[in-house]
Amino acid sequence: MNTRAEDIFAIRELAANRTTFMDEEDVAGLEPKLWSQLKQLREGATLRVSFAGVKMASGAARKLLDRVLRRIQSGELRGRGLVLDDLSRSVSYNIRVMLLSEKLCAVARVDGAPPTLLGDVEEALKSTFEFVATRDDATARDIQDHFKLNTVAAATNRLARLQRIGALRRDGPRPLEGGGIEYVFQAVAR
Amino acid sequence: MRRDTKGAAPLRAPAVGIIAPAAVRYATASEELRQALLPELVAGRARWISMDGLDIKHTQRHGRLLRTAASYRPGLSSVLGVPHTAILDWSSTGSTTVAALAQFAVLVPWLIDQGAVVVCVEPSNRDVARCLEQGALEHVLNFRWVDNRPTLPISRGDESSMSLLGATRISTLSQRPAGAVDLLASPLVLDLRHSADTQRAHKEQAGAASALLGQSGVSLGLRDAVSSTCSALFLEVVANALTHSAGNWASAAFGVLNEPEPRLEFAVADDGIGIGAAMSRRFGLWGVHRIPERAWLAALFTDADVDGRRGILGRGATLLMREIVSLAPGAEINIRSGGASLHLGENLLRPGIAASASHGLGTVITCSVPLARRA
Repeated sequence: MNTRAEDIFAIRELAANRTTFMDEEDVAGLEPKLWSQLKQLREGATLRVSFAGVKMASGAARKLLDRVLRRIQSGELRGRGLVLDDLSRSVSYNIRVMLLSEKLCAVARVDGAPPTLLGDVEEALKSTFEFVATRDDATARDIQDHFKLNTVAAATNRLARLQRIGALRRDGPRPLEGGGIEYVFQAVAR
Repeated sequence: MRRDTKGAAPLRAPAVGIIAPAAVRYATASEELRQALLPELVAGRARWISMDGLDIKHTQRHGRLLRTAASYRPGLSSVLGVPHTAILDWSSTGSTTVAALAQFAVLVPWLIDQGAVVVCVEPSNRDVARCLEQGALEHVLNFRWVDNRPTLPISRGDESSMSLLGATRISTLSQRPAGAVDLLASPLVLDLRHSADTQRAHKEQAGAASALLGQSGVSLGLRDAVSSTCSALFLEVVANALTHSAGNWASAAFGVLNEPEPRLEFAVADDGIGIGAAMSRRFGLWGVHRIPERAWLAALFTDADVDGRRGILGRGATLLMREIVSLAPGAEINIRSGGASLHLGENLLRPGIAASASHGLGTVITCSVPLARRA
């Protein structure tokens, strides 16, 4: 599996160099394109939605991302990931308030920093994702060791929830020495 | 001394200009003009509107301007094809605020739409003049400028050569004892009635202004997070005005307010239907249009249950407003919509006392963040 292969969805280029998106009308043509490109993505790949040079208000972000994120989080796009990239701070605030109000979250890179989770997400899940994103992959035992969790089940729970929201993808299972199996998780972006 | 920067062509309607008879001294221009126009005023062909309600000392009276605008009815003369004249008298207004300038930039085209010729008298505040000269009004109106004082009006050439750093430097942080407000950019005047192309151009302007506001905040010493949130909120509020206000005109301005202490302030004003009516339209809550505007405003910030529909309020701008007052100690947000107002500050939510809670009459949203005073 070619892990973390990234395709690019460059908003500015696709919108004929338009730089400001205020409301639903402004992104109406982009949402189907985004969905179409996501569906064509091969399993295990990530679509990088580039906000380079773009200002976007929450109303436009809602129209562009709401349905796509819900469909990803419902498992419809198995193994495919989405990362919001090249976000300036102010645009990340606009998108964050949209995600908070819609109770959604998304993987995002803000101001060139490593990827994080933006929106409605617990701090524990956020820090777990950020830890996984610094590595090639991680198992439940890695999470348990790093965060000093009492049980491996707690770590598994975190990873499973991150997988459900589309922030991690799961590989495996692979056999463990001494019996049993384990899954390996990778961040959709790092 | 008479200064004529735009040629001496006679005023044509619709038009806006700043006039004072050459023989009249500045100190008495306003009163002498009033005397000269007395027959017109008595006959109802002209209306004298004092702008002292926009003085920085009377911020609690700023809402009056929109009510004045809403009640403005040109006389019979305009029906007969003779332009009615609205005289906006700034002579007794010393310093003003960014919010007041944004309202002013909405009021002028609104009056023009009503068929009035607008005459601004003695805009002693430099930014009022700038609002008229550079606030895109000259593109939408038949604008003409005649000033009677040896002031230094900022020409478009000066503006284009003024870097952001320069704009920051001239602000009050250098202790310059100037007027109360220094606009950091020309106010945006947004015509909400025109084509998709016009709307698109407005949106691009607003995006650029939002970015400039963010950069200005950093230049003025605000933390990155505060500055970025201000920039994000500016974009949200302009987007709301463009999308939901259902008005004809909106304006957005930002600048440094010098008195009583330095603050970065931005304001967005529109002449639309007001927040309550806009929310009703947007969410189809036709039954709630009788809920007073102040109840809507309070509900936006208290997660109140309106008409059994919890969770529909406060999805964009209000979340950012909350964030700003929590991030920046001393930050204040003021919302005035229709006859109601609301003040949001640190640990404070204070609905204003409204004489009447009516829909319409436009909305003005102001955000003000304190700046550190430099030596």
